Amino acid sequence: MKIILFMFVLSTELWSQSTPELVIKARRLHVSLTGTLPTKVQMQQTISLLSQQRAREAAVKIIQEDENFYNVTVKSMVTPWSNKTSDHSKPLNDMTALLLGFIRDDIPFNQVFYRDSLYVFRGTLIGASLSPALQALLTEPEILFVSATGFRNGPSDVLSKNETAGARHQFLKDNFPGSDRILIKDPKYPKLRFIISKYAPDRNSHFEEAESLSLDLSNSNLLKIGLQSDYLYSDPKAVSGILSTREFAKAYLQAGTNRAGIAYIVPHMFCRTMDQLKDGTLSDEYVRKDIPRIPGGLETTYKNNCVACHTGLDPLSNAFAYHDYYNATGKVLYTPTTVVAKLNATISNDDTQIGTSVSDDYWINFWKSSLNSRMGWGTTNEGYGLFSLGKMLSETKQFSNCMSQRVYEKVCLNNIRKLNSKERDAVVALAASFELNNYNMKNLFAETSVSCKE
Amino acid sequence: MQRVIKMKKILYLSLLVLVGCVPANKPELSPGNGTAPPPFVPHPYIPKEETVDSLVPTYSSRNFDQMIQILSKVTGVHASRAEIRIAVSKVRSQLPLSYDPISYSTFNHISLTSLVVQYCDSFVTDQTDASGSILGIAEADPAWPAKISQALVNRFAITEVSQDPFLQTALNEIAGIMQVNDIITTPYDYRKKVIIGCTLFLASSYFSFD
Repeated sequence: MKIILFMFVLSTELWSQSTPELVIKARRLHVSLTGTLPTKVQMQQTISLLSQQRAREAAVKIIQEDENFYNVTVKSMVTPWSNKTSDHSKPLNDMTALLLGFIRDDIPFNQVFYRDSLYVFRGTLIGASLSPALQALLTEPEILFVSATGFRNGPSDVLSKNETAGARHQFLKDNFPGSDRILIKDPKYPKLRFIISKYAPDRNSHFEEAESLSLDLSNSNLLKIGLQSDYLYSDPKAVSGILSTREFAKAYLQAGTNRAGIAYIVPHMFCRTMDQLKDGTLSDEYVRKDIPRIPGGLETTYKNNCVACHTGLDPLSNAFAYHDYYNATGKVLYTPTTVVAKLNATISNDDTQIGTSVSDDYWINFWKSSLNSRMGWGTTNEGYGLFSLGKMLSETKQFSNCMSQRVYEKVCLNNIRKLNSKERDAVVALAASFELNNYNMKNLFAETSVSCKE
Repeated sequence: MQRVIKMKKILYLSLLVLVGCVPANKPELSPGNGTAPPPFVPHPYIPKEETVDSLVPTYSSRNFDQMIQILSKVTGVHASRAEIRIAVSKVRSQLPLSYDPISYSTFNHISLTSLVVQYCDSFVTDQTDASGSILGIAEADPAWPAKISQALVNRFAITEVSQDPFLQTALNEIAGIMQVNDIITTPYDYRKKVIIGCTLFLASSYFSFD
């Protein structure tokens, strides 16, 4: 009773001490980091820290304790990177889950380009037999089963009051006979049992169903880290962070010429458009055969326009030579030693057939020694396959700058407008701090929110 | 011939005057009262420095995930509930993709309101006890509109009413609207009014004033 009285007095004291400015600051800090409104308790905690000039601690506390930092803010920041149209309403997928998981688990964020990781929701398989783990999930007196796809006779949730674990298991088997569903329990909702498809390398239903049930992305016991080499590829050489995820392949390697892998990741994660990277001074020795040398009968068009992008883009995108996405099967295919045929496609009406044939996944970065050296490339400059390409991308200074810019736009500007000159200076300083702190994104979020909301 | 040269000189001087560039060794032309015009000094272009404070957006529209999570958080209704998911699937494509408040339309507002109504319906269901009282207030209580609106504000607002004049206004508005046509003949009418009060408060949370 004394404790309750003390808490009441303390909270009353805090409210009485808080000025309107502090209330506004606390609310802004919370909204900018979580996209949602704080509770009264959260407001009191934030106001208390702000009144002691401990704004950074307040930001860190919000990031660590409010699940909506991941479920709303981080998710809506990374989702546009997983599709060509920068659409932030696309469903959760293996690429966005990986990006989000690296932020949540404090893994250096530049490793998203090459580390062997895959985040999937862990649950207990609804199999043919009643396993001890499944029995433990089915023994509580009152359980509400919630399925993203619905039950056989229509409803999407079914309340089970006093049935035995065996009867409940039979009910689940009758409704989901394929042994392809998992049962998940979120400790925050002890009576609920979520039923979603288990992870499959040929479809995205696992993530889409989890999102439709609003499963908590901040919980590391629900969304757990694993290895791509266990789920997606039998050959570990195929793996390279987000570049080898299924969603990346679906968005950027489907049909086309596999150039989109570079052409879209550059604007999304390096904040540079292909127009900004144009450089007509480089050698065109790696430009492939599908680029006409005399487009429309004008050789000058090729020399003045086409090569400006393709001299740098083509030798880099050769790293995707063994990767492809087949829409019919919904799978990513990795064919070591066999170059995907579309990379050596030619133009039917061009007799000259001039151009490089791609014979392996060797890549080289011509942009390093050109106008585009301002990207701040690292030491790696050439290699074979996606892993070394991912390493090269991770070493780039522009990646740090871009991440700072993306976080600033998200937290401070809510993606309404672009940066002005003063804000660009602030972003450069934040990028330097981001690198010093071992590419820790949570730290970047905290520093950014304090810098613009204080 | 001399006349032609003289005419050319006059023409040349006229042109120089027109462009405001009279040679220094020539006598200055006065406007007629004997005083020389002030020398023309071109105004240098000084770009205005953008001030950060004036450009930081003070409000923006919320996106889809933000709305779902806010409504779930304040009402305590989990987004996985069947009735919520049905409502969400109906309005998902109708909520704006842009954060820019200029893109906000009546079309978006209608879809948002229908979602809020569903959340409020579930919230009121959860808050109704066996005797039919909602938020601990019985329908027989003559002061129910004021008490219910106070309970809703206490439940949903993140600041105290005494701290925020907006809340006091909102509280009065909600109570007033619930009071209008307050002929309650069935518990259903009472429940419906509380849902309206709840919707009035939460539907305004579409915009972020931060």
